[in-house]
Amino acid sequence: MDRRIRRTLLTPVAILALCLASAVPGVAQDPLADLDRYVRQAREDWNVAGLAVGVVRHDSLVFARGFGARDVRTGEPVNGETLFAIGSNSKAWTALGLGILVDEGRVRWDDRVTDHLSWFQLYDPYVTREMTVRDLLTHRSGLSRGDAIWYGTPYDREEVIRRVRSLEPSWSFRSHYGYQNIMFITAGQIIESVTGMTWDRFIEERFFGPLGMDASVTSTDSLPTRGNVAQPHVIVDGELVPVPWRDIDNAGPAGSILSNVTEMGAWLRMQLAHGEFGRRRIVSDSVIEEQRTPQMIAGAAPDTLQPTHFYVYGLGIALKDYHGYKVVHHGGGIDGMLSQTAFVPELDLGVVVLTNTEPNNLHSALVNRILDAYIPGVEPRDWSALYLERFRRDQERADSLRQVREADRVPGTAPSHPLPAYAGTYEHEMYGPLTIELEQGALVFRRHGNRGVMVHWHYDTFRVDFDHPRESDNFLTFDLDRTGDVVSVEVPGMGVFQRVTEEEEGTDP
Amino acid sequence: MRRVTMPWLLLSAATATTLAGASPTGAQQELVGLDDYIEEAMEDWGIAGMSVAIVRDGEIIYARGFGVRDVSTGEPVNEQTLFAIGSNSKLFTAVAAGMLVDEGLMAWDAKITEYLPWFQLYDPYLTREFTLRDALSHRSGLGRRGDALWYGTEYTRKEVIRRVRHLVPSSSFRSRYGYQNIMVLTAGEAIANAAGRSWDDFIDQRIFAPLAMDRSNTSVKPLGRAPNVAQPHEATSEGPKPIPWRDIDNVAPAGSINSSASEMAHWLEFLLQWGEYEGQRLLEEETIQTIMSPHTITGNPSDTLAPSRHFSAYGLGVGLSDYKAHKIQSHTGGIDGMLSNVTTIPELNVGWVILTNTSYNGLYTALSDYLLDTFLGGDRKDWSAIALEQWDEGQERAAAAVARLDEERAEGTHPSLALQAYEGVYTDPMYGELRVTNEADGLRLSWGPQQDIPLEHWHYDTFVAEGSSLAGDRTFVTFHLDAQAEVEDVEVSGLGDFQRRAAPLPGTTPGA
Repeated sequence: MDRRIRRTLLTPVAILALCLASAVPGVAQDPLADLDRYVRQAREDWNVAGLAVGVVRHDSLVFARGFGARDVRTGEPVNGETLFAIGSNSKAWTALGLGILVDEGRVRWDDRVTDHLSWFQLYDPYVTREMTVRDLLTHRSGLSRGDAIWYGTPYDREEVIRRVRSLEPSWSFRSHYGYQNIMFITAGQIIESVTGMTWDRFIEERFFGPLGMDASVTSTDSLPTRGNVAQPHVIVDGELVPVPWRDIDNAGPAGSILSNVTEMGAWLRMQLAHGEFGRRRIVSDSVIEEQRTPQMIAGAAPDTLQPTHFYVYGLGIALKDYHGYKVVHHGGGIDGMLSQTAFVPELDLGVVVLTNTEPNNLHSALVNRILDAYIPGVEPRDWSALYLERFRRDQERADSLRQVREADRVPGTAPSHPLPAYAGTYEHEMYGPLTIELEQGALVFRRHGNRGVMVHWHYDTFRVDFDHPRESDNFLTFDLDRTGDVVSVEVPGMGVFQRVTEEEEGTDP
Repeated sequence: MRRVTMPWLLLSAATATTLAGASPTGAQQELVGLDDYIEEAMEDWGIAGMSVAIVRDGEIIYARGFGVRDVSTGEPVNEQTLFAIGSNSKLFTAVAAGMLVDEGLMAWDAKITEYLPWFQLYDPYLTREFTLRDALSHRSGLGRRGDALWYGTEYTRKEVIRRVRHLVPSSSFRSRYGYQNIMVLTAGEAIANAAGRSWDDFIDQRIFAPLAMDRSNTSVKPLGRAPNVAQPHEATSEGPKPIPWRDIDNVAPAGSINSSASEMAHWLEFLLQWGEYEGQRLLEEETIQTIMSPHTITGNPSDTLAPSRHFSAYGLGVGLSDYKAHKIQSHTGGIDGMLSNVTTIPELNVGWVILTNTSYNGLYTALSDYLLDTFLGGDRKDWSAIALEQWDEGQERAAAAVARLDEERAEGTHPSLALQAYEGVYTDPMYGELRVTNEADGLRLSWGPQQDIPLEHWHYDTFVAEGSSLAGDRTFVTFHLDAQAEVEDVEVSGLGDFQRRAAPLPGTTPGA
């Protein structure tokens, strides 16, 4: 290798010249000029039923429009007032809700959880002792999801938290980012414990009221009485299939808020005004700063297409650098509803995209596209096309995995027992009971209202085909004990459910 | 004091080694004026000697020495002069661990107790959970403490690690960043165990040799025989004053490497080539990516001077941040009279090393900031002037703090007891024995490397050890009495509480 050492002449004039050289600002162009057309085309490309886009700049809502249909069956159009689920975008609200209590001196970020919920307990006593409010909001508990405790179950918030003590850590405490909804439910319960007010009422009184978010709610329970509501959809075999709204009240603080892009604009304006809205202070500047202060490394950026080096989590919100700007962002997803919000304090810019179709990555694509349009010197990329290509590749990979699975199926085996021998109730300490019954010659799986028909796969493993179009199939494997009796069933993603013997069932009041 | 022009420095700058090299080319346009900037800034800071190398696209585009190795000899620094790189050694330790990860002999998430079964921290949960990755990323919760265990002490590496088990955590495990030399030392000992040879031999054979860093070493011990070595200096109002080299062999994996700008340039090439040097792969690319990825948040940069910086984190033995839309990998190093900086910008394939032999100076970081602006474009600030201003403000704050302490001193108080009552041996499980003796001119304190430090009465039962480097310039020593008015313990600021060893009761001495 050529290793010549080069030296340069010393010319102070050159330094001056370098210092004086500066970029000439480009000619201003309306960053939203082409957005309407772009969204229309992208919605078709992705086969998304309906979506709404909101853009906030310099404390005003500069764009709030709907595209497509609320429900493919009715074709009623989405507009800026159509209600969607914002899903996990609710987490930022729970964090700021606690921030209000920090402002009032009733909570400190580094308070132990047990200071407020004395019965709170996790698997490891060290973690129980050390877990703080900050930890609850930063996905560093070391627990991986455990969402089956709340998703579709009758357990209330407190019961969900009580049950999570049985969840074995997946990673050593605070060593690894692991998305954790139940810790946010716990954060919500702290609000309730400190204020004596439900999380829902607190959010209504302290945010919805002052921000004029009259249409926004924290529960699906009032939806039947409302007019302009988007229906969730799931794409099944390329077709848009409407699915029911999912009630997630028992996980409310982690994701139950429903809103529209116009009202989300008020939330973004409050964020960008450092906690003020219409001259009224909602939350202090220091709490706003704390929320967007890096707290936990969230791992590598989710895609290599973005010019991003740091991907971290604040309090209930994610942070990244993008073209040299700090972007505060989050996604949300629940049955048939996917959303994305992002704001850039340095540009005084906020974006929200709400969609009523699963799966899609159009929400992220549109956010990136809009950010690009506002970032000086950046040529907006065709994010919809870039993500669509990646999305299709991922789908193909999933299909090929399915084929591998088919190939791994052992042909010509039979269950070790006649089907009635598998029927019964099985119980998991954390996830509760599931039942397996024989109906019209087939085993049927039921857990908290989620029903699926079981198809023999091989040996004592069965595939469950769920009734709900959103549920992908799962494989249950039964275990026999030494005497040859069926004693337990393993459910991937949850663990082993022990069979409840008849005597036990009998003694159960 | 530093703004006064020092004639000796001007002189040495004029005699600085001139390297034979090509005339300036377009590619090196950025470096025009750099020599002048460095020379002026060195004068402003009162730095004896300095050596700088810059690597871009696999080539050394700049390598030069400035000033003198030793003000008492006036011998010039060149790009081959050896300096201590201090904590820039930490990345060498991380890379060494990475090589063993590549070979399957170590794993980032393996527990330290797998390599050092006797390893123990204060809390059993930490002992059980503490990993190699934790050891290299300053998240133990022990904070920047315990340095007195190794600094100037006779303890071996192993003994330093054994003693740290008594250090009570200052923050909950992995909840915040806390710079921890002894944990990096622990990683080094784990490496030695996994590799079956000393950390020093491993660094020498696996890094120095393939990178042609022939003069670089891991200890001050061979420096006496080596030619072209910079002497450490302390900045004083009369200019830099030579001070002895500090032997830190007992914490070596955290900071003992000595090297030159020209040999560190090879290291920069290796880092910028993602683990390759002159076509030879020394480290898997994935492994060096892990080393260079964020592990611990180090703070929330809200620097008005660098508004484009939003994130700052620690990787494994390296600091990481964003600046002007690029990822910056950087670390500083400092030990008695030696301050250094190593910085790389992979996206621009450029990096530099800055070695200085005078402390304190702010130029080792300010020049790096200046080079960041040079290569990243946009506004280029006079970072040395900014750092000088900040340094002056810091000095004023420190002086005000000292004045405040003086004001808070209670007047007209006396020690509760006669001075001989304070005599005795005091012990701490981590820091060992501390001895207080009563001499003709008053109390004296002896502990570890510090012997017979005179204690002046401050107020009540507090004494001050002025000017000793026990724990900062001014160490307060407070004795506590028990209900029987006997001295039961002594609190030494910066070290902690030492319990008095009970005098054996008469007639209970074994064998009596």
